[in-house]
Amino acid sequence: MNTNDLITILAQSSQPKKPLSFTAALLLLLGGAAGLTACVIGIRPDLEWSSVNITALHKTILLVALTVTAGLFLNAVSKPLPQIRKVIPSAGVTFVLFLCSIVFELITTPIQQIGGYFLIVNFPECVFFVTLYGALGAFALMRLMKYYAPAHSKLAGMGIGFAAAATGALGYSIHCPLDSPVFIAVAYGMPVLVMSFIFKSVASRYIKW
Amino acid sequence: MTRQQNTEHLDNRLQHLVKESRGGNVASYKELLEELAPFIRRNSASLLVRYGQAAMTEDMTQEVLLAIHLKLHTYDEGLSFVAWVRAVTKHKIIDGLRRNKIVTSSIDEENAMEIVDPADPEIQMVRNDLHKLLSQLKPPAGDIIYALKVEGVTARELALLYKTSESNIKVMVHRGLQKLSELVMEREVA
Repeated sequence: MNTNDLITILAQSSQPKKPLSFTAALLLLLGGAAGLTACVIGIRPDLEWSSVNITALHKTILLVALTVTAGLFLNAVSKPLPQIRKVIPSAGVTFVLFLCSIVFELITTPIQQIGGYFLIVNFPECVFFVTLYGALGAFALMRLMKYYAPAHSKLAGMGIGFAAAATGALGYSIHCPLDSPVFIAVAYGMPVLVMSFIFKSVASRYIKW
Repeated sequence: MTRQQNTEHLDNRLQHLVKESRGGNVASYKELLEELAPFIRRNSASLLVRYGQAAMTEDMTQEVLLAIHLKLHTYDEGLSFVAWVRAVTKHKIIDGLRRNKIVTSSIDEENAMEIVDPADPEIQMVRNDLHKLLSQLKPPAGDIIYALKVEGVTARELALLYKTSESNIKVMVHRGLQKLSELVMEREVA
């Protein structure tokens, strides 16, 4: 086909519909993860709608900050000209929030008590569910990424794993009654990190546009 | 008008056409594609000719036009549209070369955008020498110098592509050129 003919055809055909945004996709994933958690394993028993649970709120703020950063990163790397610098403020805020929370906890709480959190069943449960939700979400995001145009497929894969696992962590957090910042950083952060690196190598092979 | 001013003028014009196309103006969209076609053809040819694949130019031009049609929603207004088109072109060409099992180990870092007559052996020889020399610099200094000094890509576009500041690009070019002159001196002495 002649290039001029192609231009005529493209100009006459309607422009493709904009795909689902990553923000909408992550909100859907969050709804799915939270819904699944509530229906299958249940909401944490100490959560009462009539009163505000400060530690649960603090944990939610930490995980929301992480998820927002992951979402911004995913959005940035899905384009031919990635604007990763735009993620820096959000990443900075998340880092500072986690750091301050962890330092405060280490000062105010005995180390034995913090260490004890990792010996109970919640730890493997957290790791398992965040990984599971992350993997399921990542496959959905990989399909969506085909409608985008990432300049670097490895970064795109990393963004997929990071965003899916962070969203899964936020969705799962309504079940886990442990609000310790150190516990959150390890039990939620570890699977998020692992998923990011797994999908960095896995997804990059399948992201074609 | 300098090359940089030309690129900026083209960029402003294309950005205006993109805005109108997004508003549903079919005539502007056709104009945009028509203006882009020769630009993409030039860029594709300059990359493909290095790998002896000049014959793929028209196919790649069409592939890039199609990709632009499908992925235009990923262009953020406010950024350089020319840089966006170059990034799409680079991606599609690497993809095309890999599909044809052509080794592209170094093309990832290349951004050559030059009109080249592939039949001219002298140009080929000079280009090969230049590439050999530039490849001795610490990456991506060689590519940046080539893009800036040979192809006329602006420092602003390079800053966007390499995700760094314009001043960093200028420092890299300055240091790279110093190193190059040392290398040339060493060669002459030898």
